[in-house]
Amino acid sequence: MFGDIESSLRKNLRDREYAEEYAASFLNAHVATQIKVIREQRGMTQADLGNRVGTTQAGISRYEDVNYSSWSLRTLMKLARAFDVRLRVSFEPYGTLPDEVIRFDRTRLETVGRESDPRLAETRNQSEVDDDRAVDIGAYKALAGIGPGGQKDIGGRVYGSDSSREGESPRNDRTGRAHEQGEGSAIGLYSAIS
Amino acid sequence: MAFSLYDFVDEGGKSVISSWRDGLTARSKAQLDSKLQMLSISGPNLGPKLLAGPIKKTGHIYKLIIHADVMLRPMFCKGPFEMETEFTLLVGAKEIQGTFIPDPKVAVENRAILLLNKKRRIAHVW
Repeated sequence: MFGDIESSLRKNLRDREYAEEYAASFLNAHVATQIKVIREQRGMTQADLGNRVGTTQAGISRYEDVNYSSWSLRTLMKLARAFDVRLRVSFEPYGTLPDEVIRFDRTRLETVGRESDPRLAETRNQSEVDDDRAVDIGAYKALAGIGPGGQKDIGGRVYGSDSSREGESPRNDRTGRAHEQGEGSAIGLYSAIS
Repeated sequence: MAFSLYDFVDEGGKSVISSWRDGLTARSKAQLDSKLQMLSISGPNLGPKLLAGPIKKTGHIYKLIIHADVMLRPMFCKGPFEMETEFTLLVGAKEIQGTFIPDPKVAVENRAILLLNKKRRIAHVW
């Protein structure tokens, strides 16, 4: 469905200046969006999250901006701790970027906290492990085949204000594992699944 | 859910966004493409502060927020024919010291032209 975008992007990324700026733009948008998505997944307000990381609601609002670009590892580590997930930072080749771009959706950004992670459960037998792998494969195919759901109409909505409570999605303690299929961003907040 | 993206075209049939993009630097083009692709792939609600609007006194015009070499503000509307699944880019604009160049009324006028003539747009070319 996004073949035109993917092929155009692969071509444009051959230009170094374009590639560097596009990657930076996508990275910033990815991090900002994942913070918002995980916060909403946890049922937290911006003020709640601010309290957990030692900043204000306005501070979180500043992070939740696709154009914010002043990230520090220290801040991201605090956010990861507040979400009870691990932070992954990774250097990646540009060629992996188009695939990440066309798979950018809410479900892939959601991730489970450590205590909800079924892979860390105390009692697991091989059958359960196999079941989880089957679920992962099924979720991956579903996402690749039909794309994300739940997008809302913009009709009548005013953008540009604090949207901390907009677009909430129900908790989903299993879909976070779809990240394991390999669509990692250069920086992302992931549940501890390896 | 994917959204279809269209460009308003001038009387000669050329995309106004494409012409505007041609005059941007490589870095600005990258920022513009990144945000437009995000809008098309994920829609308007996933990326926080990806867009703003409706712009005052326009009724239906939204702007993408893009921090590039300059503040890019491409203006668009939802639909205007399939309101749930498509956007039409109406004019490329910049914001300098709080002033849009060109004025958002150009986007309003282009939308009105499009409503009278569906042929005044084409699918956005990536």
